[in-house]
Amino acid sequence: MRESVSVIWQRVLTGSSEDWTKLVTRYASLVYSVVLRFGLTGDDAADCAQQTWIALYKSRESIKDPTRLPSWLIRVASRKASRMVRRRAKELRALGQLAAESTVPPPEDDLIRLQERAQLNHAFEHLDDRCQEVLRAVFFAAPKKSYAEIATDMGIPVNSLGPTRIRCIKKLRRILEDLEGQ
Amino acid sequence: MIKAAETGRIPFRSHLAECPDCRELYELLGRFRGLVDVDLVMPPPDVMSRHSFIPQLLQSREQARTISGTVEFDSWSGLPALALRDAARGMERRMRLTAGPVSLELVAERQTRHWEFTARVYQRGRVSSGFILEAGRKQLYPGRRWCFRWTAAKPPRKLGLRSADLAIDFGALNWKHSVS
Repeated sequence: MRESVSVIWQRVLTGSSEDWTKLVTRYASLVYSVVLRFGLTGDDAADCAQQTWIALYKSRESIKDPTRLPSWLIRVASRKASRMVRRRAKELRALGQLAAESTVPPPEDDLIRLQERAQLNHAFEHLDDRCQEVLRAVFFAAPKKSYAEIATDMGIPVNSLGPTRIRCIKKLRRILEDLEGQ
Repeated sequence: MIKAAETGRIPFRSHLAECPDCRELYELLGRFRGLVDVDLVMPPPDVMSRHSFIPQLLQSREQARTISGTVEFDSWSGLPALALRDAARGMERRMRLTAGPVSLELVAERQTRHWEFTARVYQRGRVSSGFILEAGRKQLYPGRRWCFRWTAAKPPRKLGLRSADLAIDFGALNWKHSVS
């Protein structure tokens, strides 16, 4: 069953740790990818992501609009990652080693695209198998295949691939709207 | 419509202008295509379980029972073994602090300008993930393999552990090294 982030969030507020895990599963890759974009790796990346989730848990009462959680997570993860990068650079300088003078944050567009990709991935999981197969073949397959090749692979007439694709995109759009709680 | 447009069979732009549905679909397609190269990286499973565990770690501690802990082992006390020459010079200190079924293993290493600490909590002999470590004013959350790692200019005067049902105080720690 499709659950909007608003529904999950309401249950997190009542203390459901199961729904907290659902939230983590939904956005963990988003948070982790943001801190990686700042150049953090290994334990530093993991700790930074952890601090972001702790901050979310501690601020849960003050978050009024859960549909904006992805942008909240991006903002907090960016701030924490940036702080950690500065701290690590300071430590390196104290040891007389070379370190970047300042953090170069990833462009904001880059972070927004991460957020969109996270939402898209999640919506994708709610599509039926057939639609997942079609959209994966059309958009995400590497190397790219022709319509004729895709149709052959899927065992459908080539002229039905276009309408199927459109039907699946419409489904995906509806799921995205549901998940975003609109 | 899109297939037709791709092959140039219809005046694509003018059709989009007249068909709001098609325009919306076309924009959606563009949005998806633009996201193909965006990589999202899932954190390792142990990191995921740390994230999932946060509510248990931070839940209300109003009902917590306060108990005192004691030092069960301290590498700075007594005569140092030959193998612990670093400890003898005061570069490293190993401690085991216990309170009932809970024990805290701590390794403190003195660096040129700061101290580095690693600690782990055990409950009934098994690694425990349900505690926050308080080192002086710092509140620390378990990291990889449920270890606490931190650095500080000075070692903590007090250590404590907090869980949903226990508040453990290990009292004041003396960091003046008596063995020379």
